[in-house]
Amino acid sequence: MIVAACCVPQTPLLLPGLTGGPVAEVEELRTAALAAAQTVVGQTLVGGGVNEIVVVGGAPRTGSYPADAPTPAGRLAPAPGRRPAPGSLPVPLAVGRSLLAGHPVLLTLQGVDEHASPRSCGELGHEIAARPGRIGLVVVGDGSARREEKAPGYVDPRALEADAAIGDALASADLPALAALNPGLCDDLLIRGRAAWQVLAAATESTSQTHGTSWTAHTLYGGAPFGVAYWSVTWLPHPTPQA
Amino acid sequence: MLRLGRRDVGEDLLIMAIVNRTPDSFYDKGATFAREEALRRVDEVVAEGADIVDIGGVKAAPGTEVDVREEIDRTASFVAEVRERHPDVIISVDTWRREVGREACRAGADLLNDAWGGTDPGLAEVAAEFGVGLVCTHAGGLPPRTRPHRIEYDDVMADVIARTTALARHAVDVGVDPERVLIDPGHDFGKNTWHSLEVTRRLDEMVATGWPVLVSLSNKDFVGESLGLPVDERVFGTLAVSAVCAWQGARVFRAHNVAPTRQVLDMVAVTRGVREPVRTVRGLA
Repeated sequence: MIVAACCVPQTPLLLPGLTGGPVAEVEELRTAALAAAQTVVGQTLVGGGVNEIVVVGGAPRTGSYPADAPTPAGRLAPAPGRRPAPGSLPVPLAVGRSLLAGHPVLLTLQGVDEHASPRSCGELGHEIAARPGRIGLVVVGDGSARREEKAPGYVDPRALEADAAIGDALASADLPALAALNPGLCDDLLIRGRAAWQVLAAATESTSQTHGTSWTAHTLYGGAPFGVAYWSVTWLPHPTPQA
Repeated sequence: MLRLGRRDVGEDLLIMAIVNRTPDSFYDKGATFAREEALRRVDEVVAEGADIVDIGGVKAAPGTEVDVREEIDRTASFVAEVRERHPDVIISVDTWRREVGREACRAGADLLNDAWGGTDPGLAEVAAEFGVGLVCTHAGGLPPRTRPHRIEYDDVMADVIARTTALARHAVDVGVDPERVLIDPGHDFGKNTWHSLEVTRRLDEMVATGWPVLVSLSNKDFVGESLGLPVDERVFGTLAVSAVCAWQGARVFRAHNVAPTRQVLDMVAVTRGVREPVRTVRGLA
């Protein structure tokens, strides 16, 4: 069962060291993302039994990735002390893992094919929720990279409205809205979080059904300082599900 | 041996001055969109020591669509005017389109600067047909006028070398004179700042392929991000990386700021021992 969840951005800027010197906009985002991950860890470690943090993020294939796989930092930011490493993680999983560094948790890195159908994402979400023990989800994904002319993907006039709808859904734990996100539109708008959010929607829905919980969202961050929409949001269940 | 236009380049380091026939390019913001301003700019850069002028009709970043007709209008007749006014300057045209390349060559261009990395394979055939040179650039496989976003490489320099040398071999295969082919790592094209810094520090690997290397560094974002400076304050950073590339063997430097670039390249050449100092009397008399 899912006992807590958070959504954080998948931007490589959150990988340690990638901005060179500190960048104020990134540090503000990092603070919010770390706080969201901290909330999930705190909720998950309450009580005994099996406690597991599952990081869910877009990947080339659906499946789990080794928790100790190398960081992709050297592929994105090669430097003398930071070389590309074979078998490195997809960026979203590496970002999620980096936010959990230092926490003594059982960590599973769950990749979801970023092109997976909503139905496949739903099945994966139900499967994660059915795993034994108390599970905290760290869901890594962000919004459109086509919000404005200076955005990485240039401008698409549909981007702001799509991001606003996603932001509302994340801020209100609107599970049907996330489940209904259109993969084609998300691809067009360079919205990378779609598959991971649909896993989140299904996993939390599953716990709601089995434990009668509802979800309360709390937004720690919403912004687009570099033309890509980022959110940091926590979702906590009420009442807390009991095994 | 590198040959461009009628010139045997030998060991010289060349400056390719940027002349934009665009209303919206990032550095000059349309200053030479008008014909008269552009001609004045050409006169100025030639006087400052530019060997090549690189005439472009479409800015690299995304923006207003410029179709083939419009791009030809902006470049071809201007090439003819520059040819007449400066018979010895090497004229390059910055385009990825074969139709534009063909009209530019008819008007007298000596070099086609394919900054988007072989998007239109027909451009090499145009270079062959007219006996002009070709710049084969690494853009990471991105389509023209798109920005890099979260791009990863197993090894960015290996990718640069593989793609640019493949483009160069293809050019020779379709008939381009092998002494008129250059390769360009494409700083910031399909690369974030870290990638551009990596190709800068490892440029010697590209030089070792034997193809002459052109670098386009001028006032780019990797300089700006490295130093935390806006576009109008990047000249010193540009000159520093120009020196680093020259030291490692780059041959052609695409630049906005010609006079200071000339000084830097001459100083590097003197330091490497491939150019004689102008006057060395101190302590020798």
